[in-house]
Amino acid sequence: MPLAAHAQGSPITITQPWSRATPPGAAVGAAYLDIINTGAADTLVGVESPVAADVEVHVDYEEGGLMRMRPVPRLPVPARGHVHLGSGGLHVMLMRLKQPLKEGEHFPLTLVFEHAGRILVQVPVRGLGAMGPTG
Amino acid sequence: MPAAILEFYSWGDGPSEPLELHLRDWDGHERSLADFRGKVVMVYFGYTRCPEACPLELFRLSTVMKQLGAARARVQVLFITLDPDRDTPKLLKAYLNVFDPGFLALTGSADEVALASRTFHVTYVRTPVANDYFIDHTSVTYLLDKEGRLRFREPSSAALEDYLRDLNRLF
Repeated sequence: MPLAAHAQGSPITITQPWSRATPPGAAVGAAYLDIINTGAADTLVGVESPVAADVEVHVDYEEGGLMRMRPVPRLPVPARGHVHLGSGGLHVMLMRLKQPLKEGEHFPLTLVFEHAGRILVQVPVRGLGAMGPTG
Repeated sequence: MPAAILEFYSWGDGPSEPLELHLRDWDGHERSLADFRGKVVMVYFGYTRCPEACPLELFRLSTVMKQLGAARARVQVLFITLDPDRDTPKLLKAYLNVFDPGFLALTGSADEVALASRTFHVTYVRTPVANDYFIDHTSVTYLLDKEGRLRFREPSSAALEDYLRDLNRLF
Protein backbone atom coordinates (compact mmCIF):
# COMPACT_ATOMS: atom_id res chain seq x y z
CA MET A 1 0.00 0.00 0.00
CA PRO A 2 1.46 3.40 -0.88
CA LEU A 3 2.44 5.59 2.06
CA ALA A 4 1.45 8.76 0.22
CA ALA A 5 -1.42 9.82 -1.97
CA HIS A 6 -0.92 12.24 -4.77
CA ALA A 7 -3.29 13.13 -7.56
CA GLN A 8 -1.48 13.46 -10.90
CA GLY A 9 -0.32 17.03 -11.49
CA SER A 10 -1.55 18.16 -8.10
CA PRO A 11 0.73 20.19 -5.86
CA ILE A 12 -0.79 18.48 -2.81
CA THR A 13 0.51 15.20 -1.38
CA ILE A 14 -0.92 13.41 1.64
CA THR A 15 1.66 11.43 3.60
CA GLN A 16 1.85 9.23 6.68
CA PRO A 17 -1.88 8.67 7.18
CA TRP A 18 -2.79 6.57 10.22
CA SER A 19 -5.60 5.97 12.68
CA ARG A 20 -6.21 4.12 15.91
CA ALA A 21 -8.30 1.01 16.40
CA THR A 22 -11.58 1.73 18.15
CA PRO A 23 -13.08 -0.39 20.92
CA PRO A 24 -16.37 -2.14 20.10
CA GLY A 25 -19.35 0.18 20.20
CA ALA A 26 -17.16 3.28 20.09
CA ALA A 27 -18.89 5.51 17.58
CA VAL A 28 -15.96 7.88 17.12
CA GLY A 29 -12.52 7.44 15.59
CA ALA A 30 -9.59 9.70 14.81
CA ALA A 31 -7.27 9.83 11.81
CA TYR A 32 -4.05 11.75 11.29
CA LEU A 33 -1.91 12.66 8.31
CA ASP A 34 0.43 15.25 6.79
CA ILE A 35 -0.49 17.58 3.96
CA ILE A 36 2.47 18.68 1.83
CA ASN A 37 1.83 21.54 -0.59
CA THR A 38 4.38 22.39 -3.27
CA GLY A 39 2.15 24.97 -4.94
CA ALA A 40 0.00 28.00 -4.22
CA ALA A 41 -2.03 28.39 -1.03
CA ASP A 42 -5.06 26.12 -0.78
CA THR A 43 -7.74 25.23 1.77
CA LEU A 44 -9.06 21.89 2.99
CA VAL A 45 -12.83 22.34 2.87
CA GLY A 46 -14.11 18.82 3.42
CA VAL A 47 -13.29 15.27 4.41
CA GLU A 48 -15.34 12.17 3.56
CA SER A 49 -15.22 8.49 4.26
CA PRO A 50 -17.59 5.59 3.72
CA VAL A 51 -16.78 4.31 7.24
CA ALA A 52 -18.41 7.23 9.08
CA ALA A 53 -21.56 9.30 8.64
CA ASP A 54 -19.88 12.56 9.66
CA VAL A 55 -16.23 13.40 9.07
CA GLU A 56 -14.69 16.70 10.12
CA VAL A 57 -11.33 18.21 10.93
CA HIS A 58 -11.06 19.19 14.59
CA VAL A 59 -8.41 20.84 16.70
CA ASP A 60 -7.57 20.31 20.37
CA TYR A 61 -7.07 23.39 22.49
CA GLU A 62 -6.84 24.21 26.17
CA GLU A 63 -9.28 26.50 27.92
CA GLY A 64 -9.27 27.05 31.67
CA GLY A 65 -7.28 23.89 32.31
CA LEU A 66 -9.71 21.83 30.25
CA MET A 67 -8.82 20.12 26.97
CA ARG A 68 -11.42 21.06 24.41
CA MET A 69 -12.05 20.40 20.74
CA ARG A 70 -13.65 22.45 18.03
CA PRO A 71 -14.35 21.84 14.34
CA VAL A 72 -12.15 23.44 11.71
CA PRO A 73 -14.42 23.76 8.67
CA ARG A 74 -11.73 25.43 6.56
CA LEU A 75 -8.12 24.45 7.13
CA PRO A 76 -5.64 26.72 5.38
CA VAL A 77 -2.76 24.98 3.63
CA PRO A 78 0.04 27.51 3.09
CA ALA A 79 1.80 27.91 -0.26
CA ARG A 80 4.86 25.65 -0.39
CA GLY A 81 3.89 24.59 3.11
CA HIS A 82 3.01 21.68 5.30
CA VAL A 83 0.12 21.00 7.67
CA HIS A 84 0.50 18.29 10.28
CA LEU A 85 -2.56 16.52 11.67
CA GLY A 86 -1.30 14.67 14.72
CA SER A 87 -2.38 13.44 18.12
CA GLY A 88 -3.12 16.29 20.50
CA GLY A 89 -3.54 18.91 17.76
CA LEU A 90 -5.38 18.93 14.46
CA HIS A 91 -7.01 15.64 13.58
CA VAL A 92 -9.73 14.12 11.44
CA MET A 93 -12.77 13.09 13.49
CA LEU A 94 -14.79 10.18 12.17
CA MET A 95 -18.17 10.40 13.85
CA ARG A 96 -21.03 7.90 13.81
CA LEU A 97 -18.71 5.13 12.68
CA LYS A 98 -20.52 2.41 10.80
CA GLN A 99 -18.19 -0.26 12.12
CA PRO A 100 -15.26 -0.30 14.53
CA LEU A 101 -11.82 0.46 13.09
CA LYS A 102 -9.82 -2.74 13.38
CA GLU A 103 -6.06 -2.88 13.81
CA GLY A 104 -4.34 -4.08 10.67
CA GLU A 105 -7.11 -2.99 8.32
CA HIS A 106 -7.37 0.23 6.35
CA PHE A 107 -10.16 2.50 5.15
CA PRO A 108 -10.55 5.16 2.45
CA LEU A 109 -10.54 8.85 3.31
CA THR A 110 -11.12 11.58 0.72
CA LEU A 111 -9.82 15.07 1.37
CA VAL A 112 -11.48 17.85 -0.58
CA PHE A 113 -9.37 20.93 -1.36
CA GLU A 114 -10.69 24.19 -2.71
CA HIS A 115 -8.20 24.24 -5.60
CA ALA A 116 -6.55 20.83 -5.69
CA GLY A 117 -9.88 19.04 -5.61
CA ARG A 118 -10.47 15.56 -4.20
CA ILE A 119 -7.59 13.39 -3.02
CA LEU A 120 -8.20 9.84 -1.86
CA VAL A 121 -5.94 8.22 0.73
CA GLN A 122 -6.02 4.77 2.31
CA VAL A 123 -5.63 5.07 6.08
CA PRO A 124 -4.07 2.14 7.95
CA VAL A 125 -5.48 1.31 11.38
CA ARG A 126 -2.85 0.98 14.11
CA GLY A 127 -3.28 -0.31 17.67
CA LEU A 128 -5.45 1.10 20.45
CA GLY A 129 -2.56 2.94 22.05
CA ALA A 130 -0.77 4.01 18.86
CA MET A 131 0.87 7.42 18.97
CA GLY A 132 2.18 7.66 15.41
CA PRO A 133 2.02 6.27 11.90
CA THR A 134 4.01 3.16 12.72
CA GLY A 135 1.96 2.28 15.81
CA MET B 1 7.92 17.59 46.24
CA PRO B 2 6.73 15.85 43.06
CA ALA B 3 4.22 17.83 41.02
CA ALA B 4 1.50 15.23 41.57
CA ILE B 5 1.47 15.76 45.35
CA LEU B 6 1.67 19.56 45.06
CA GLU B 7 -1.37 19.66 42.83
CA PHE B 8 -3.36 17.55 45.23
CA TYR B 9 -2.50 19.72 48.20
CA SER B 10 -3.85 22.72 46.35
CA TRP B 11 -7.31 21.27 46.96
CA GLY B 12 -7.07 21.43 50.72
CA ASP B 13 -4.91 20.26 53.56
CA GLY B 14 -3.54 17.06 52.12
CA PRO B 15 -4.62 13.45 52.69
CA SER B 16 -7.78 13.81 54.74
CA GLU B 17 -11.11 12.07 54.75
CA PRO B 18 -11.71 9.08 52.50
CA LEU B 19 -13.66 10.13 49.40
CA GLU B 20 -17.11 8.77 48.75
CA LEU B 21 -19.00 7.85 45.62
CA HIS B 22 -22.46 6.37 45.22
CA LEU B 23 -22.96 5.02 41.75
CA ARG B 24 -23.99 1.78 40.04
CA ASP B 25 -22.00 -0.85 38.19
CA TRP B 26 -22.99 -2.41 34.88
CA ASP B 27 -25.09 -5.06 36.62
CA GLY B 28 -27.11 -2.31 38.25
CA HIS B 29 -25.70 -2.93 41.72
CA GLU B 30 -25.01 0.04 43.93
CA ARG B 31 -21.31 0.55 44.51
CA SER B 32 -19.42 2.87 46.77
CA LEU B 33 -15.72 3.47 47.17
CA ALA B 34 -15.92 1.63 50.51
CA ASP B 35 -16.35 -1.58 48.48
CA PHE B 36 -12.73 -1.28 47.43
CA ARG B 37 -11.07 -0.72 50.79
CA GLY B 38 -7.84 -2.62 51.04
CA LYS B 39 -7.02 -2.00 47.39
CA VAL B 40 -5.35 0.96 45.78
CA VAL B 41 -7.91 2.51 43.46
CA MET B 42 -7.30 4.40 40.22
CA VAL B 43 -10.29 6.51 39.17
CA TYR B 44 -10.76 8.05 35.72
CA PHE B 45 -13.73 10.00 34.42
CA GLY B 46 -14.47 9.73 30.69
CA TYR B 47 -16.93 8.41 28.12
CA THR B 48 -16.86 5.82 25.36
CA ARG B 49 -17.26 8.28 22.48
CA CYS B 50 -14.19 10.18 23.60
CA PRO B 51 -11.95 10.34 20.54
CA GLU B 52 -8.50 10.50 22.11
CA ALA B 53 -8.03 11.27 25.79
CA CYS B 54 -10.02 8.33 27.19
CA PRO B 55 -8.79 5.51 24.95
CA LEU B 56 -5.22 6.69 25.38
CA GLU B 57 -5.53 6.90 29.17
CA LEU B 58 -7.26 3.53 29.44
CA PHE B 59 -4.57 2.04 27.24
CA ARG B 60 -1.93 3.55 29.51
CA LEU B 61 -3.68 2.20 32.60
CA SER B 62 -3.79 -1.25 31.01
CA THR B 63 -0.05 -0.98 30.41
CA VAL B 64 0.48 0.01 34.04
CA MET B 65 -1.49 -3.05 35.16
CA LYS B 66 0.59 -5.30 32.93
CA GLN B 67 3.79 -3.80 34.34
CA LEU B 68 2.60 -4.50 37.89
CA GLY B 69 2.49 -8.23 37.26
CA ALA B 70 1.24 -10.06 40.34
CA ALA B 71 0.86 -6.76 42.19
CA ARG B 72 -2.07 -5.89 39.90
CA ALA B 73 -4.30 -7.81 42.32
CA ARG B 74 -3.80 -4.92 44.77
CA VAL B 75 -5.21 -2.33 42.36
CA GLN B 76 -8.72 -1.59 41.09
CA VAL B 77 -9.31 0.69 38.11
CA LEU B 78 -12.67 2.48 38.06
CA PHE B 79 -13.96 4.25 34.94
CA ILE B 80 -16.78 6.67 35.69
CA THR B 81 -18.86 7.69 32.71
CA LEU B 82 -19.64 11.35 32.15
CA ASP B 83 -22.16 10.30 29.50
CA PRO B 84 -24.74 8.07 31.19
CA ASP B 85 -27.29 9.03 28.49
CA ARG B 86 -25.39 7.14 25.83
CA ASP B 87 -23.01 4.89 27.74
CA THR B 88 -25.25 1.93 28.49
CA PRO B 89 -23.99 -0.72 30.92
CA LYS B 90 -23.52 -3.16 28.03
CA LEU B 91 -21.49 -0.64 26.06
CA LEU B 92 -19.33 0.23 29.07
CA LYS B 93 -18.56 -3.42 29.69
CA ALA B 94 -17.60 -4.10 26.06
CA TYR B 95 -15.53 -0.91 25.90
CA LEU B 96 -13.52 -1.52 29.06
CA ASN B 97 -13.06 -5.20 28.33
CA VAL B 98 -10.90 -4.30 25.34
CA PHE B 99 -8.41 -2.55 27.61
CA ASP B 100 -8.48 -4.85 30.64
CA PRO B 101 -11.19 -7.25 31.79
CA GLY B 102 -10.47 -6.20 35.39
CA PHE B 103 -11.51 -2.57 34.84
CA LEU B 104 -14.88 -1.65 36.29
CA ALA B 105 -17.27 1.04 35.03
CA LEU B 106 -19.57 3.06 37.25
CA THR B 107 -22.59 4.97 36.07
CA GLY B 108 -25.70 6.65 37.45
CA SER B 109 -28.20 9.39 36.83
CA ALA B 110 -26.99 12.73 35.51
CA ASP B 111 -27.16 14.12 39.07
CA GLU B 112 -25.24 11.22 40.59
CA VAL B 113 -22.51 11.54 37.97
CA ALA B 114 -22.39 15.31 38.52
CA LEU B 115 -21.95 14.78 42.26
CA ALA B 116 -19.18 12.24 41.68
CA SER B 117 -17.43 14.66 39.34
CA ARG B 118 -17.59 17.43 41.96
CA THR B 119 -16.05 15.11 44.54
CA PHE B 120 -13.04 14.73 42.28
CA HIS B 121 -13.01 18.30 40.95
CA VAL B 122 -13.69 17.01 37.43
CA THR B 123 -15.09 19.59 35.03
CA TYR B 124 -17.01 18.49 31.96
CA VAL B 125 -18.87 20.34 29.22
CA ARG B 126 -20.99 19.13 26.29
CA THR B 127 -19.99 20.51 22.91
CA PRO B 128 -22.47 19.93 20.08
CA VAL B 129 -20.78 18.77 16.88
CA ALA B 130 -22.42 17.75 13.59
CA ASN B 131 -25.31 15.47 14.63
CA ASP B 132 -23.60 14.50 17.82
CA TYR B 133 -21.93 15.96 20.87
CA PHE B 134 -18.56 15.59 22.48
CA ILE B 135 -17.80 16.01 26.14
CA ASP B 136 -14.74 18.06 26.95
CA HIS B 137 -13.53 16.93 30.36
CA THR B 138 -10.72 17.00 32.89
CA SER B 139 -8.46 14.14 31.94
CA VAL B 140 -6.73 13.02 35.13
CA THR B 141 -6.38 9.67 36.88
CA TYR B 142 -6.85 9.84 40.65
CA LEU B 143 -4.98 7.44 42.92
CA LEU B 144 -6.68 6.56 46.19
CA ASP B 145 -4.93 4.70 48.97
CA LYS B 146 -6.22 1.53 50.62
CA GLU B 147 -8.34 3.62 52.97
CA GLY B 148 -9.97 5.54 50.13
CA ARG B 149 -8.09 8.80 50.57
CA LEU B 150 -7.02 10.76 47.50
CA ARG B 151 -3.24 10.77 47.37
CA PHE B 152 -2.07 11.43 43.81
CA ARG B 153 -3.31 12.89 40.55
CA GLU B 154 -1.82 11.72 37.27
CA PRO B 155 -2.50 14.20 34.46
CA SER B 156 -2.20 13.26 30.79
CA SER B 157 1.44 14.37 30.86
CA ALA B 158 2.35 11.77 33.50
CA ALA B 159 4.70 8.97 32.42
CA LEU B 160 4.32 5.26 33.07
CA GLU B 161 7.07 5.55 35.69
CA ASP B 162 5.05 8.16 37.60
CA TYR B 163 2.13 5.76 38.00
CA LEU B 164 4.35 2.89 39.07
CA ARG B 165 6.26 5.02 41.56
CA ASP B 166 3.08 6.47 43.07
CA LEU B 167 1.30 3.10 43.21
CA ASN B 168 4.29 1.59 44.96
CA ARG B 169 4.07 4.31 47.59
CA LEU B 170 0.50 3.26 48.32
CA PHE B 171 0.97 -0.53 48.40
